[in-house]
Amino acid sequence: MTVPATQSHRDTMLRLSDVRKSYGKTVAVDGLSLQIAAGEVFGLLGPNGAGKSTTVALAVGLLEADRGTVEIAGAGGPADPAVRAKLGVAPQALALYEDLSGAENLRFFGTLQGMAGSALAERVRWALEFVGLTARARDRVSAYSGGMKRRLNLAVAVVHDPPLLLLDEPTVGAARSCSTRTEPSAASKPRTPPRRWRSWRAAAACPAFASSNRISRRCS
Amino acid sequence: MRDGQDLMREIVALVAKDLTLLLRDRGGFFFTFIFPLVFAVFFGTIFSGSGAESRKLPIAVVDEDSSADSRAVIAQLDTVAEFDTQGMSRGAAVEAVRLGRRVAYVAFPKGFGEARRRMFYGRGPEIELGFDPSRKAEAGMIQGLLARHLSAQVGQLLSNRSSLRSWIHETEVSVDSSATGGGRRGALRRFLGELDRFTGEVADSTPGAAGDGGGWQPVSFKNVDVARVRSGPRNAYQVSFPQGIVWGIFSCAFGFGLSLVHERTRGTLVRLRIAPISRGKILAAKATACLVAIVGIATLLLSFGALVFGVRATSPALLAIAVLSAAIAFVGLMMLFSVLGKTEATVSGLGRAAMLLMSMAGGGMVPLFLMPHWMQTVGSFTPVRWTILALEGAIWRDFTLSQMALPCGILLAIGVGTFAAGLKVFRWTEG
Repeated sequence: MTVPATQSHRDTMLRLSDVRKSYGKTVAVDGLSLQIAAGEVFGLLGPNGAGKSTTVALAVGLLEADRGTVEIAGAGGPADPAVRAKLGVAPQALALYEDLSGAENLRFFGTLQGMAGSALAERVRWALEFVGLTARARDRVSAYSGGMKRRLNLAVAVVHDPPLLLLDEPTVGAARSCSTRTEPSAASKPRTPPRRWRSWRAAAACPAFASSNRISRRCS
Repeated sequence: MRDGQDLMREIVALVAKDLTLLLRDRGGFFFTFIFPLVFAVFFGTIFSGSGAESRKLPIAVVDEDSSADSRAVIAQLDTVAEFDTQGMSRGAAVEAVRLGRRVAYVAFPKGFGEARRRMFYGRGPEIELGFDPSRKAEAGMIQGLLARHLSAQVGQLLSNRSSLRSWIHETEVSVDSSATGGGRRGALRRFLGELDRFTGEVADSTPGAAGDGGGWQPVSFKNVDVARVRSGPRNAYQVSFPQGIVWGIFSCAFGFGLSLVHERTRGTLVRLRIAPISRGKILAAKATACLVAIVGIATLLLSFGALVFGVRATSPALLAIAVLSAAIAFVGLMMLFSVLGKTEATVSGLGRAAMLLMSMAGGGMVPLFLMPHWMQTVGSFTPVRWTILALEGAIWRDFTLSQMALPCGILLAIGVGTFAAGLKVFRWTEG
C-alpha cells in the first residue's frame, strides 16, 4: 500500500518504503510505503493490533524492518544517532522518572538531545509552560496526577524542538482540558506553537487508516 | 555533529540521573550504603567479642597468700599481654568461671610465698588452676604462660648474683631448721656452699659483674619479626569488612540490574534508546553509575573500618584493583540476570537467590579459612569466593601483584563474559 507524497522529496520528513515487519508468523506491517512532508500533520488511526505502534517503532528505530527502508528528513535511517536527533517521540506509556521532578526530567532528556546551558533552561521553561506545569515544575513526578504525567510525557517529546514529532496515543488518560490543550483543534492550539505545528487540524481532515495490515489514506 | 564534550555531558547526565534516583530511593539507599556497614560491624563485633582487647584470656586471680612473692607474681601476670586479669575472692572466682564470665581462675594458696623460696628441698610452690572442662585448650595455654613467667622469675633469681647469694644464705638457714633428713641435709648444705663459692668466684673474677650474674640465663630467646608471613587476619573486622564490601557491591549491581528492568517496563528505556546516543553508551553510562556507587560504598566501609577498627589495606592500589574487578564481575552478572527475567519480581528473585547461594558457598557469610576443604572447592566456582580472596589479599593476606592476578583475572573474565552475553540478548522494549 502506498500513501502518496504530498510534498517534494526534498521536504519529506519521514519516508517509509515497502516496509514489512512480522513477529514470527504474525505479519504486523506489510508493504507499507508513506511519506510525511514538513509542516504536515499525519494521523494514523486503526483498531488494536492493526500495526500502528509497530509502524511508530519502525520509524524511530526501536524495531528493524524485515524488508524496506525508513528515512528521516532525507538524512538516513533512525539507526544513526544524528538522524534520531530530529525526532521527538511521546510514547503511549508514560516514560518518565517518577523520583525526578518535572523540570529534572525535562533537563535530563534535553541534555541527551545535545542541549545545554541557557538554551536548555529556556526550552525547559517553555515546555513546562506549554503543558501548563510551570507551577509544579519542582515537584516529583510521583506526586503528579495521571493527566499531569501525560502532559509532561508530551513536554519531554518537544523540549528539544524536533522537526519531526511522533505522538502515540498522546491524550490517553488526560483530562478534557488537557486534551484540548494538546490535540490538534482550531479552538485550542498551543499558546506558542512552532509554525510547522499549526496545521495539526489537517490531521483530522486527512487521516490514514490502519486495518488488517493495510494502511490507507482518505483526504476529504 | 556532536563532539566529545557533548557526548561526555550526556554520559555525565545519565550517570547523575541514576545516582540521583539511587539516593532518592530510601530503601535502595539503606541496602546499598547502610546495610553493608551494619553487616561488617555486627559480624566483626560478634567474632571478636568486645573489640581489640577481646583476644586476651579473661582469668580471675585469687591471692590467699597475700605475701610479697604472691603479689610480685600477680603483678607480673597483670603485665602479660595474653591475660585479662581480675582479682577476686575464691568464691567469686569459681562462680565467674562457672558462669562463663572468666575462662579460668588462678589461686595462690596460703604458704605460696614461703614454698616458692624453697628450692631443691621440701614441697615446691603450688598454684591452683580452675577452669571450665570445655575450655581445656585455653587452660593449657594459661598453664603454659604461667609456667613460662614463673620460670623467667627463677631465671632472674639465678642470674642476679647478689639476690642469688642472699637466697643461698637464707636457704642454708632454712635447711638447718627444717625437718629434712640428716644425709640429705648434709648434701644440700654442701651443694649450697659450693654454689655460694662459685657465685662469689665468678663475681670476683668478672669485671663489672657484681650485680648482673655475668650474663648467664637458663634460656634466652631471640625475637625475630615474622609479621610479614602471618597466616591470619589481625582482627575479626578484617574478615567482616571485605564481606560487607561484597554485600555493598552486590547491592549496587543488583540495583543496576533492576533499574534496567524497571526502565524497560516503565518505557524510559525506549526514550533513552530513541535519544541520539548510542546503545553502548547508554549501557556503559548505567554501568558507570553502578561502578561509582560501588567505589562510594567501598570507600565508606574502608574509611569507617580504618578509623574505628584499624582495618587497613596492606596495599591500597591492589585493593582498588580488587574492588573494581569485583564490581565489573557483579555488574556483568546482573546485566545477564536482567535479561533472563521479564519482570522486576523475576529478576529480583533470581538475583537474590543467586547471591544467597554464591555467598554461602563463596565465603560471603562464613569466613573462607573456616570452611571445610570441599566447601572451598565448591566456592571456587562463585565470584563471591574470588572477590573475598582479592579483597583479603589486599587487606591482610599480603598478596603481591602476581598473586592478585588470578582472582582479579577470574572476576574480570566473569564480568566481561556475562556482560557480553547479557548485551547480546538485551531487549529495549517489553515483549
